Amino acid sequence: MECEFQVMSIRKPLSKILPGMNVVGACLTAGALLMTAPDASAESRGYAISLIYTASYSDQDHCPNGGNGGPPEMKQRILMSRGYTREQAFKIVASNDVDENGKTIDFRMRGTLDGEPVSVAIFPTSYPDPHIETAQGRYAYGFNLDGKVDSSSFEDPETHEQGVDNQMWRVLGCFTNYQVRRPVIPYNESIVWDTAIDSMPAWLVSISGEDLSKDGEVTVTFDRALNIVMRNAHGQVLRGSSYTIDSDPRSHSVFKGRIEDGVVTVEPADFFMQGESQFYAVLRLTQARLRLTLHPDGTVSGVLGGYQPWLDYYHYLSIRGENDGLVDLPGVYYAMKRLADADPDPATGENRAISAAYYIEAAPVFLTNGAGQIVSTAYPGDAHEPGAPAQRKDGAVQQNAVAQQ
Amino acid sequence: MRRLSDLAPALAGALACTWFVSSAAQPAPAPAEAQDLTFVRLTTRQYQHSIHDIFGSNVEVKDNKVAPGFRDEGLLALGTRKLTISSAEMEQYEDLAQDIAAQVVDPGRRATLMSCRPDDESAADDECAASFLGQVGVLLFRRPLSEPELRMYVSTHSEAAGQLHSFNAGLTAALAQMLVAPDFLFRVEVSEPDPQRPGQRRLDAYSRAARLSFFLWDSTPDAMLLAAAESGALLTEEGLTAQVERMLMSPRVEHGLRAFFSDMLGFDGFATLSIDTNLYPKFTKYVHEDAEEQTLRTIVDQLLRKNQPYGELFVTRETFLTPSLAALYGVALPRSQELGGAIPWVPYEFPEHDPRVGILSQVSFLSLNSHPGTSSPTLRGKALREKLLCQKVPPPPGNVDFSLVQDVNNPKFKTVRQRLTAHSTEAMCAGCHKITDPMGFALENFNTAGEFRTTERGEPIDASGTLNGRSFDGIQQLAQVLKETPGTSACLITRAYSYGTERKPSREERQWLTALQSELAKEGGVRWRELMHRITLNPDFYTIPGAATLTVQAGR
Amino acid sequence: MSTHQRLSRRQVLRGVVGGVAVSVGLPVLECFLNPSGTAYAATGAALPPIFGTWFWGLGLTPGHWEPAASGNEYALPEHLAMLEPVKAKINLFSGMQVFLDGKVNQNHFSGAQCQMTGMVSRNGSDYTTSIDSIIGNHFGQRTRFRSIEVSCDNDRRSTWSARGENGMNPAEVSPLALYGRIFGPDFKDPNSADFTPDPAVMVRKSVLSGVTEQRQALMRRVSASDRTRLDEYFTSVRDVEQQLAVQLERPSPLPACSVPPPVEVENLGTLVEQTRATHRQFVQLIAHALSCGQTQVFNIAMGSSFSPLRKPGEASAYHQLTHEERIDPQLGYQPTCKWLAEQQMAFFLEMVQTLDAIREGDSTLLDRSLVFAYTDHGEARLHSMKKYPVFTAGSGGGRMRTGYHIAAEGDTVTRVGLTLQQAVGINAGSWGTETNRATKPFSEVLV
Repeated sequence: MECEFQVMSIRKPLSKILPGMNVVGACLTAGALLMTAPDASAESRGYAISLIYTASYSDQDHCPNGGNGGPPEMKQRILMSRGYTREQAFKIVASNDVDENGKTIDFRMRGTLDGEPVSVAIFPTSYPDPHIETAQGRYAYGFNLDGKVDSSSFEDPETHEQGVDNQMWRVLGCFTNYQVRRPVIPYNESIVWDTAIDSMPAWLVSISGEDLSKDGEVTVTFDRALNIVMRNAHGQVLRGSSYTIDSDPRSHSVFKGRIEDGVVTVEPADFFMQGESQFYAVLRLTQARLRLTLHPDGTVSGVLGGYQPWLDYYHYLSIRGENDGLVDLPGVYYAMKRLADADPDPATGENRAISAAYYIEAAPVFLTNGAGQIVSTAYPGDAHEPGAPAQRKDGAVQQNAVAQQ
Repeated sequence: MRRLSDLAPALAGALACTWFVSSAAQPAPAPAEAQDLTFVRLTTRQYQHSIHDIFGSNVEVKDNKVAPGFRDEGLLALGTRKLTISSAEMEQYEDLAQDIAAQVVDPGRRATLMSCRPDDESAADDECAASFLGQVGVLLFRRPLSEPELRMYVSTHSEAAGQLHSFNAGLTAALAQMLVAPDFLFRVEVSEPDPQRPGQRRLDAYSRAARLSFFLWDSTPDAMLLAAAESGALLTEEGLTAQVERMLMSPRVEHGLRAFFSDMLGFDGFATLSIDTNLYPKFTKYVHEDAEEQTLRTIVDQLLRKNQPYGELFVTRETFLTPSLAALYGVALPRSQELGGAIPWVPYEFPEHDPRVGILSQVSFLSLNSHPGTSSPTLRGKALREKLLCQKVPPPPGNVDFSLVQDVNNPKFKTVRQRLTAHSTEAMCAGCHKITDPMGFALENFNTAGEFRTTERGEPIDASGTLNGRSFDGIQQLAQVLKETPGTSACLITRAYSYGTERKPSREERQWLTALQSELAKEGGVRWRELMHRITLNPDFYTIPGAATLTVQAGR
Repeated sequence: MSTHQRLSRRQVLRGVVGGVAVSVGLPVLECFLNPSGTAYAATGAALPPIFGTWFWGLGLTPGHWEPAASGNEYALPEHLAMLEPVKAKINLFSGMQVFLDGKVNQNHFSGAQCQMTGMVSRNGSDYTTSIDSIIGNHFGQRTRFRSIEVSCDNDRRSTWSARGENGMNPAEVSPLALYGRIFGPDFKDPNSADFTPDPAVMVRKSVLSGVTEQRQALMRRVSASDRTRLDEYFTSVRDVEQQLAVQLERPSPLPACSVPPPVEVENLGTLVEQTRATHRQFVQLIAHALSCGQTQVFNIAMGSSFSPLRKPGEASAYHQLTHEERIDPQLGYQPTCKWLAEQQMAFFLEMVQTLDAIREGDSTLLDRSLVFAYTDHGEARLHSMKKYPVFTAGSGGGRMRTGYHIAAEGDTVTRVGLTLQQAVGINAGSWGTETNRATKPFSEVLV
């Protein structure tokens, strides 16, 4: 069978990894050793996620009451609820939370449990519900997860799909941090992601199909890598770098779908990806859907949505704290609890999962498996050669031929 | 000397501030044995290797930034014969000497290098110091110390120990004095009349040992080699052969090989290499650091481990990659690197028909001989000619009018080749450019960062060219041409000989080198160990050409 | 000279140190004066002059920098307008050339070589004693460092200073490293109240003087050409010995001296911003070093003569642009090249102003200095050896007039070097070889 992967002869180091295995420059047929092996005649492109963030779509009408602001506004509201005037509250916040007696106010410990002050990050219900404003409006990124179009649904701003379920957006969308729209991304997430990818194993995507330049069936897989993302001189993901797929089955998610006009959509499936603390410790979505656009320059971007256990996201924010997460933690907790729309707890009947959507951007890289075989190749795209035809011939050389200039 | 008397202040009397004093206006005429000495400056790496080989590799040698020197006949090695040590460099050497001496004498380490202990740690101990300094001195100076010499160093130690009330401090002072002595910082070559060739001079046994070991090992002679010098074995063919064969079996041969090719291929250029990362973001600093090592590893693997002939370097598809290099070359590199673990070097073989063939397709060649923002067939062709074929390309004439070169944004001339076409059609330019550009064009499929491309600004790249009447298209064919051209191995052989002797070969030596090349060609090509063997067993390698004995001075 | 009794340094120190309390520094001996007696002393005599060179590659835009008028009331053309603030303290020379006398024009080498050494060699590697060494020798070495060389393009080979014929002095490329060399642990603050010579330093010094005692024996055994090399080695040993000696004596207080804040971050590279930042750091360090008496001679090179200076976003570096950038038909020059030349002139301005900012009594560090600024070509695009722009800055303590533009059409550039040597008091009737032998200094600016 014609081999269209570029497989090279591996030398000593690999035989140390897999003693007894003698991998020579041969081509492997489907099913032999490749875990996610697509058909041997198919094409599989690999990507490393270069950016992932809560898919925020901010509009002038989505917070009619003015929004929740950020930590300064939140602190002022708390102070006013304690009896300070607006001016006094402003003055205190402006002087680094130092009150009229020279004492620094610790907003974090404003909760009360058994008469003792406790951290509201850890005990959000130790403080009364501040009733944050939740997002309204017409648009939000995401998918119609429950098949229904009702008053709680949105319209996707790009596809104009109706009935989009994104209750998490309602919870978060009126905090200043999230009142952004692409290409701007929520500030707290951008900072943390940037540090996370330098210490967290990469999150990988592969798209496989017969011929990805044409419409047809595809399989999309997500995996965790053994390696950390490599960066180029601009700090972006280094295109063409190589990652070994972590064979741990937990972070392996498979979606079946179609590609049409360069856009991939999938049948619902579950998504699970292990991350690192301070960023998403784990990202898991049930009934997840995906929409990815394959761009001429070789990168992909799109939306990943589904039902997420809302405590996962709360956990992410509470680790950051209110000053870095830039939200009102009890407010978010109560709102999430109220607006959660899936997975009822059998005991209490309360929903444990909330509809959510994330925006993904990924750069082309090589994916290999533990046996040292190339599973997916780095599709070079047109790079920035205006007018040059996309190099799409099969065969190892040409596939790697057009590098960026 | 005129300069010294400029500096010596013209003051009389017993003022205790004399710098130098010349004891006489003019030195006496040199006796016949005089002028038997010349000296060659050690390179930074040779300095480090020497310290590590003598005192152990855990002695830290701080980075020693001396001037890179200058290239003569294509090699920095020849420049070392003409270099001295400037004040700024001496400052560093003094600092290094103190630092290294203190480390060696450090109580933790001292016991492994010294077999005696002082009676009193806070005072001098001449006997113990003499034993240590005598042993170490032989290794540092690559010859035994004379009695007065040893006495001088011992007395340095005892004075310093007295002033600072510490045996260690005294020993540090003496050892540091050795480490800044010309006998250590330079490779001193002592010559003697050659009994086989009356009127000629040859290196004495110790100088042979030094030349041999810096050539083969890029480091100072070890104890066994020095013993062979002392016994005179090194002056006999059997003794020399035995040592050469022993040395060629040592893993230290790799150091010598690396030092030679770094020089020949101009890798000192890496220190100032600048590729525009705005335009070529894949050329990260890791690539910059890895590029030199990739080529040197390839060379070591082919020429030493696999004992391949030199021509293989141009056509081999075997190399070693790191993840950063792999991304630049656009190939997958499976790695099982642990999180935070050391970045691995992975052996890699490019598949058949892949354009990455030989060292010409590696970043080290492509980027070093290029511009920061665009490739340059001229620079690459010039490098091929000068570095690999030992040919000289004349410099551009002083008054050349470059207005012939087009605007890089000119829509008519998109590729570099097109822009250089005028260079080959204008008579004034063509003379030199037809020597350089055609070879460089074969490499135009690689941009200045070393990435492969088939188009430039939308135009397909034309990689055809000619060399010595043979035409080729693309790098695979150019590599084959280079491998088969006799000039390629002739150049290597000449360079190797020049490198080892730090001079141009004489006429007789050149004839010998030509004959050597034919012999090696019959054996299937130039293999490194065989080449080293032949060169180091050639008696001419140890002669001082053209230095006749001085006429005897009357009544000395 | 032959009446000197031979004393070794070691004997000297032994006499002072052994048995005698080591708290009194060696007195400032008259041997630390040079023959012309212009040295400083603790008595408050005039501070010694300073000599420096400042090299920039690829010249200026020809036809746009030459002022119309000569003399001390000329107007700076637009291309040099940024130098207005320092115009009164600099001199500008135009019209001079480098004569090749039939030798090959070693591009980007012969021009600088001639201005720094007075001669043009046949090949691109032979080099001889440069003017900073000549003047430094005349000063005599009374400071810790004989001279300081720096280069702002991260290339140690970007240097035009040489002691003799055996290689050039390498340039320091890292401000961090230079800080450590000058103001690191071996620095003795001249204004510090207490002073105790360190016995360990005495030992280090006598180690070096022991080395020099071998000089005679070795000199006898080498050939004539090797003698100069060996000689330079021993001179270098003595220079380091001198550095240590300076540490052993109580320095005279220098009111203008202040230790600069440590260099923490450096940004080495060839982009204009990086070069500017590195140059700024170096100039600050050198200015402080000069005002603290650490050296009297400095050499700054913006970079190599094949200037790799780059404008961000521009694919080609400066040198390549000089040959490849089109001459704009409207403007009549190469726009990016002119811009880059002006960047370098801005660096020159910054250097001059930095020296001028350090007050020493009624005058400034700049007033005490003579800085020679030169470039490799009169027109880089054509590798022209004509119409060189040359500057001097400072008056050397009143030894040179400033504020002049002198048009010396057709003269050899070495006239400037000759003028500078005479200004510091070197009794030189001529300087340079062959047609570059200058015999007439610029008397308009000599005091």
